[in-house]
Amino acid sequence: MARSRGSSEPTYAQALAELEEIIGRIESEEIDVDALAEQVKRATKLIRFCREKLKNTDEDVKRALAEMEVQLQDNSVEKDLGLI
Amino acid sequence: MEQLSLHKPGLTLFELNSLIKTAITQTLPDLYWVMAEIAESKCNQKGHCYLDLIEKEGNKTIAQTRATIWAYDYRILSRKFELATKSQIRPGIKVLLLTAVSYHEVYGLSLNVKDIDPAYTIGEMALRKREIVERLQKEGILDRNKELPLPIVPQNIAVISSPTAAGYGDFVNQLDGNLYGFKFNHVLFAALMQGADAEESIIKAFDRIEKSKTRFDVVAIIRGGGSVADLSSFDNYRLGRSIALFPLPVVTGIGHEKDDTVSDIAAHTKMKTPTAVAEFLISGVRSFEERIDSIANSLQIYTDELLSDAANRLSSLAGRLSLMRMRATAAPLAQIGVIEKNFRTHVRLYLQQKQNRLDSLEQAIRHLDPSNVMKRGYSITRANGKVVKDSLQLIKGDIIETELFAGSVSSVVVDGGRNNGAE
Repeated sequence: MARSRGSSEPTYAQALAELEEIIGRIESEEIDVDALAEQVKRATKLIRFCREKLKNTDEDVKRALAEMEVQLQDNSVEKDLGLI
Repeated sequence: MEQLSLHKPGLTLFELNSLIKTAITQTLPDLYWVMAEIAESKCNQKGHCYLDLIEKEGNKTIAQTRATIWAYDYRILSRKFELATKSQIRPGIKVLLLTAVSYHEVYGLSLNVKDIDPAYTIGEMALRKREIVERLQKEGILDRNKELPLPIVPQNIAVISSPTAAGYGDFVNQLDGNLYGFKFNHVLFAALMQGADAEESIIKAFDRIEKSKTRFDVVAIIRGGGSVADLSSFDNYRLGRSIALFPLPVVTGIGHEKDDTVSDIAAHTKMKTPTAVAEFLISGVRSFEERIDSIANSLQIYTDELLSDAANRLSSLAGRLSLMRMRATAAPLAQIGVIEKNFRTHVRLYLQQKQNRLDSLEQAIRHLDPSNVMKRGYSITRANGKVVKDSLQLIKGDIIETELFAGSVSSVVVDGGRNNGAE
């Protein structure tokens, strides 16, 4: 349910679906060798994208979440909680 | 008596209350087990606990009495109660209390609590919990959250917890310190996790998360810590409903061993502890990574297979091609060989013929050599250096020279020649 934040960046689900489609085609040898290079390149790019996204901070998300935490503090949750 | 009544037209209040007190003490001298619901509870600084006990019929209160647990008893009873029921002695729960009925001239009637039976409360809570679960089921929403698909990668997590809870710290440490180096984005939506206000506070936290629900993949409700847990807040219809209807999957880790709370039952996934929730989320991401790894692996294998198949096909084609070329050229080559051989034979024959001809010519020529002829007795006659082949070339008196095989002679023509013939 990770969302895409740009047209060029797929979600995990989209990346996975596309990868499985490519693998299916290569496995069933539906693909000819000419198209193979391109498909392998695309698959490799998707795999790298997924791996990086799993382990690196997404700056966009980080920023959005930081903003949210500021807002939450403005909402004086601590006061609700009787911490102040 | 009369004098008394002159001065005192009635009983003093104290006297009346003393009578009441005596009556009560005499009529109700024993200890009684009483079932009641706690409407209010207050503990003062001395550690005494004051309760308002009520009994309801529907929404109508049909009985109400104050009760007191003295500090000395309260410490023991509350501990025993909380250990057994996972709930504090607090408003909203039903209790079975062993009480002495006491009457104080100033404070009036009150029940003095001597003991509490947690088993009754457990039974009551279980009953109430069952009713709540059945109600959610009847409304068709109990499994609503469970029907949501788990996120393919639970990486963005809204956490409902108390910032000071030990369980929250465990959760964050476990998540951020995961062995695989996954990056989790987690935001705390602070809420009270125990006490009478917990229900409302947690529901408010859900409302706040819902406003930014697109930022999150999953909600984790985390609590736990050293103190005896008060789980009764989680056996609550409104909270159960909020969880069941929440648009993101909810994972609970509210730290208990025994029966599931309504919140656990309504949630997508129930874990025993905050650490277990973190592990669950990490394993979700790990499972995705494994799929990616396996795809990468398959990609390698299938691509290698495909390429080596293609290479094999190519080399087999190349083999067939060279075979075909050999077959194609073999016949002409043989033909050329035959032709070459024939050619050589022909040339040799031709040369042989020419040689033979030359040989016979040579022989013929040798036969024609004048010296060879003269050897056989022929001679050559010349007159004035010219060879004489006709007698008409000569006249009488011409000197002729005769060349013989060996030597030559000169002679004079005596007879014959042109004169004879012309005359």
